[in-house]
Amino acid sequence: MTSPVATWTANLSSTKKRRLLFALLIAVELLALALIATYLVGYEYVETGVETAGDVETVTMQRQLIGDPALLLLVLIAAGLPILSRNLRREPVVLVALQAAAAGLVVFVVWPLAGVLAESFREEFGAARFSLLQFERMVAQPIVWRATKNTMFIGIVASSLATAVGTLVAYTLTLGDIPWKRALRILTVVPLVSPPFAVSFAFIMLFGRRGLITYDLLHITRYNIYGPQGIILVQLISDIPLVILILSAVFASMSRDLEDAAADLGGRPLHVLRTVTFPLVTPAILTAFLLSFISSISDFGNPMLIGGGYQMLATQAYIQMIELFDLQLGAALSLILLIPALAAFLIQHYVVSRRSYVTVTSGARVGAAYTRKLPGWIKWPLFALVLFFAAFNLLLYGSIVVGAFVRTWGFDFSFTLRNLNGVVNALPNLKNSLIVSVGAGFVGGVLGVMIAWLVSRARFRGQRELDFMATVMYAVPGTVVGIGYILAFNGSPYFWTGTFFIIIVAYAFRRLPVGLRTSVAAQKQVDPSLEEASLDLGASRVRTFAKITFPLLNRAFFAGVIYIFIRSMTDLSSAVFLNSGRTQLFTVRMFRVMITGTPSQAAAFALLLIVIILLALGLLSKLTGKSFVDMFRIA
Amino acid sequence: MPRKILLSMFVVIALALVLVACAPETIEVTRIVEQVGEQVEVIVTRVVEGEVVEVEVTRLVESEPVEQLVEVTPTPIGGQLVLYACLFDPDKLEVLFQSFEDQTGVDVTCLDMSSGEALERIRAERENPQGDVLFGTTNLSHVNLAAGDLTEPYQGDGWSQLPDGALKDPDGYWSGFYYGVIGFACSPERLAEISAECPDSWQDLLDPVYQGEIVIASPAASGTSYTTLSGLAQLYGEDGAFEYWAQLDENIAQYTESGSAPGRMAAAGEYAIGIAFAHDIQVQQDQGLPVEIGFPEEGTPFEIGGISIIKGAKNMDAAKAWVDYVFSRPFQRYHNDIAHRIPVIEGVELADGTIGLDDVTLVEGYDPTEWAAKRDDLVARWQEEIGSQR
Repeated sequence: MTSPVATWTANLSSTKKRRLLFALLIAVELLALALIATYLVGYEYVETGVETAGDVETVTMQRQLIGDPALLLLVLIAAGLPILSRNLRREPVVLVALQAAAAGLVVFVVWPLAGVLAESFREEFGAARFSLLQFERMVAQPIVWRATKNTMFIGIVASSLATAVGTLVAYTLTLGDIPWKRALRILTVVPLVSPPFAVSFAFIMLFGRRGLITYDLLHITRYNIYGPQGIILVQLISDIPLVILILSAVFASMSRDLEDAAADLGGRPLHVLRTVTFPLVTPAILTAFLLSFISSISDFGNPMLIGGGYQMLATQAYIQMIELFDLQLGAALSLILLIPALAAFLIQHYVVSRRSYVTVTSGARVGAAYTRKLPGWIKWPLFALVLFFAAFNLLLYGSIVVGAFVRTWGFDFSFTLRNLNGVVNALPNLKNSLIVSVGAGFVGGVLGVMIAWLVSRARFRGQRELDFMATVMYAVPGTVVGIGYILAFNGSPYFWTGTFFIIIVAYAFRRLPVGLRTSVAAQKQVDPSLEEASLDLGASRVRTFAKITFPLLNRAFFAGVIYIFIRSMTDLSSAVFLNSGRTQLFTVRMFRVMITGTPSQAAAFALLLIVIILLALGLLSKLTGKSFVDMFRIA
Repeated sequence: MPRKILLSMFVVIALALVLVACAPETIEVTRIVEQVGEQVEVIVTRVVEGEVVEVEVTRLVESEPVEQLVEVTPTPIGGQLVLYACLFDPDKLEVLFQSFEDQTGVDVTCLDMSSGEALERIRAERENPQGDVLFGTTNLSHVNLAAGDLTEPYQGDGWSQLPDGALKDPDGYWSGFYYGVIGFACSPERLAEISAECPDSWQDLLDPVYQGEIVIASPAASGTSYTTLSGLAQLYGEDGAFEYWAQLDENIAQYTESGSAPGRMAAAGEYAIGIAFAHDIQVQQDQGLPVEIGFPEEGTPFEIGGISIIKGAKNMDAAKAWVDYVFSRPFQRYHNDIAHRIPVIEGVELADGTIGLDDVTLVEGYDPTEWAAKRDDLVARWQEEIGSQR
C-alpha cells in the first residue's frame, strides 16, 4: 500500500471505485471495437482509368469503401445494448460475458443466416434487387407442398418415438437396478460415434433388398427398405442416443428425496414414477423432443441414402443448391424448413420457462445416482427394451466391422485386408478432422456453459433473444450453414475459406445448442440459492461461477464438448462446403466412397472413424479422470 | 448515465467513419519508362490529391527486356495445385499426381465433389478462389462456368490437338478430355429371378417384366441423368422423349439423387437394371461384382468430360501445366485403364476390356452449348410431367 496509486484507490469510496472500473472497462471495449472496425471496414484503391502518352503512363485510382459496414453496425448494437441496462452496469463480469456472447452470435449466427436469407430474395446470383421470384417459383411447384408434408410426418413420428424410447432407456440405465449396465450404456449410445449416414448404410447392408438378413437369411424379396419407413427407422437409431444423453444427465443429478418422500407417503412405484419422477424431467424431455424433431427434419444424408426418392425439404434444398446450382431456390426452401423448427423451439421455450423444477438443493447429494428398486413387472420389460436396442446397435455396427474385412459384401465373404488401402491414403484427412473437431468441441463447450449461465441465471432484457440466437443454428441444415459461411466470409476482408478457423467456428456455433440446452437443463435443476449464498457471503461473480456453478455443471460441460467433438468428426453436410484442398475432411472422402465404392470399402472408412472416436473418448476419459463409460453416459 | 453511453457509442461510430474519411480521395501513379544510355530507367511517381508524395526510380540494364525481368517463370513450377470435382477415386489417381509432381514439383490435391457442388463452390468463392482447376464433370458445367465468367481461357497443347465442335470451346475456356457413354447395368442374378434378359434397346426397357426393377437417377438431381434425358431428346425429339419417359416411369423402382448409385445398386443385386455411365459400371465390375453392361441400339447418350482453369487460380502456371498433362498420351491411357473413361486423343489405345466408342451407337446432334442452355427448361418440364407425379 505504498504506491501512490494504491493509496489513491484505497481512499476512494466504493461507488467511485466502481464507477472508475466501469469507465476503464468502457475504454478497453472502445479500443477493441475500434480494432474490429478497422478490420471490418476499410478502403482500397480501384483503377478508374489509364492514360498513356508516349512513355508516360498515368493511372488514376479512386477510393472505394470495402468490407461489411452492416456487420459492424450489428456488432456495435450487440455490444452496445447491454450497456444500456442499469442492472448489467452494476455487474461488469456479466456485462462483458453478455457482450462477448452477443457479438459472437451476431457475427457467426445472424450474419451467415442473413446472407442465406438475402440470397433467397434474389433473382439470380449477385443480383442487387429484392425479388420474390424464388417464392413464386416455389408455390408453383407441387413438390414443395409434398416435401413439406413429408418432412412434418417424418419429423413428428421419428422424434416422438425416439423421445419415448430414449427416455425409457435413459431411465432404466441410470436409475434401474439391472444387470450389464456398463456394456448396455455404451451400446445404447454407440450410434453417436458414427456419421448418421453410416446407419443408413448399415441398414441397407442388413435389411436392404439384398440385405444379409432380409435376403440371404429370410429370403424376402418383395420387401423394400427404401422410402419413409427406412428414413424413420434410421432416424430413430440416430436420435435415440441424443435423447439418452440428455436425459441420463438429468436423471442422474435428480435428487431422490422427492421420490423417497412420495414412496414413504405410500405411493406405489408406478404412481411415483408417473407423478414425481417424470414431471421432474419434463423440461429435459421437451428439450430432447425438440432437438430430435429438428434433427429429423433437417437431416439430408439419411433421406438421400435410404429415402428412395421420398421428397423432403432438406433433400430438396440440398438438391437445388448442390446439384442444380440454384442457390436462391435452395435458400428459399430452407427458409420453409426453418418455420416448423422455429415453432418447435418457441413452444419448448414457452412451456419450459413457465415451470421450475428445482431438485438439487443445498442439502442434496450431488453426483452419485441412486438406483431405484423397481418391481419386476416394470423392470424386466424396460430391461428387454434396452437389451433389444443395444442388440440392434450391435448388429448394425457389427456388420460394419465384418463388412470392412470381407472382399465383397453380399457376394464374397472371404477375409481380406485390401479395403484398408483406401483408408490409409485418407489419413491426412483424418488429421484435419481431428484438429477441427477438438477445436470446435472446446470453443462450443465453453460458449455453451457461458450462455446457459447467462440465460438461466442472470436477469436482463433480451434473454430470450439471446437464447434464440444461440439455439436457432440447430434448426438450420448443415448445408445452409456451409453456404451461409461461404457467402459471409469468403470475400474481403475475411478470406477465411480454406482455413481451419472457419470450420471450427461453424461447427462450434452449429453444435452449440446441444451443449447449451444440456447446460440449461442442468442449471434448472440447481437451486439458485446455492449461488446466491456464495454471492451473499462476499464471493465475486467469477469466484461463484468457478467454485459453485461450474462444478455443478461440469458434467453438462463435458457432455457438450464430447457431443460437439463427435458431431464434428461425423459431419458431412457443412464439410462439403467448408473444407478445401488444404483442409479436406475425412467424412467427405468417406461419403464419396459410399456412393461410388463397394460396401466393403465404405465399411472400412466407417470403421476407422468409429475407432478413432472411441480412442479420443478414451483419451478424454484419462484426461478428465472419469471412467470410459462416463464419457458416454456423461451422467 | 444512458446518455453518456449513447455518447460513447457515437464516438465509436465517428471513429470508424474518421478512419475511412481521412484516407485520400484519389491517387495517381505515373510511370515513365526512359532510356538513358545503356540503361532503362523506370520512374514511378505517386500523386495524392495533387501533391507528389513518392518518386521511385528503378534502373535496369538495357539488354534485358523489362517484361522478362518482371515476370520470371521458375522451373520447376512447384507449389500446390487444387483440383475440384475429382471425377474418380483420388487414391487411384495418385500415380498420375505423383508423375506430375516428378515433372513439375507441384503437389496435387484432388477434392471429391459432385459437379453441382463444384460449380456452387467456384461461384461462391469467386472473390477468393480455393481451387485451381475444374477437373472433369460434363462439359455442360464448363459451358455454364464460362458463361458466368468464372473460368480462364487457355489454348494449350490439348486444346490445339482437338477437332472443332463438341470437344472444345472455340475460345479455349474449356477442353474435353474424355467421353462417357450411358449404359444399362444388369444384375444377372436379379434378371434370372424375374426371368428376363439384359435389355439392348430403349424400347426393351418398357417391357412390363421390368416393372419395379429399374433404377435411374433423377434428371433434376444428377448430371448423369440429364445426359440421358438430353440424349433421348436428341433421339426422339423433346416431346417424344417425355412421352417415352412417361412410359418408362411405370417400370422405375426409384429415382436416386446420385448418378452412379443406379450402377452400384444393380451391381449389388438390389435391382435388375440400373441406368448409369458405362465407366461407373465397369468400376463396379473391377470390384468383382457380377454386373453386365448393355447398350441401347437406337442410340446411346454420352457426355464429354471437360477441364477448365478457374479464374484467379492461385497457381496459374501449375494449372496450365496440369491441363497440358491431362492431354498427354500416358495420362489418357492410364486414365482409361483405371477410370475407364474413353480417351479423346487420336491413337491412344484402349485398355483391355474397356468399352470404347466403337462398342456403341452414339446419339447424333450433340451440342454442349445448346444442351447446357436447355437444361433448366427440360429439368423443369421433367419435374412437372414425371417427377411430381410420383
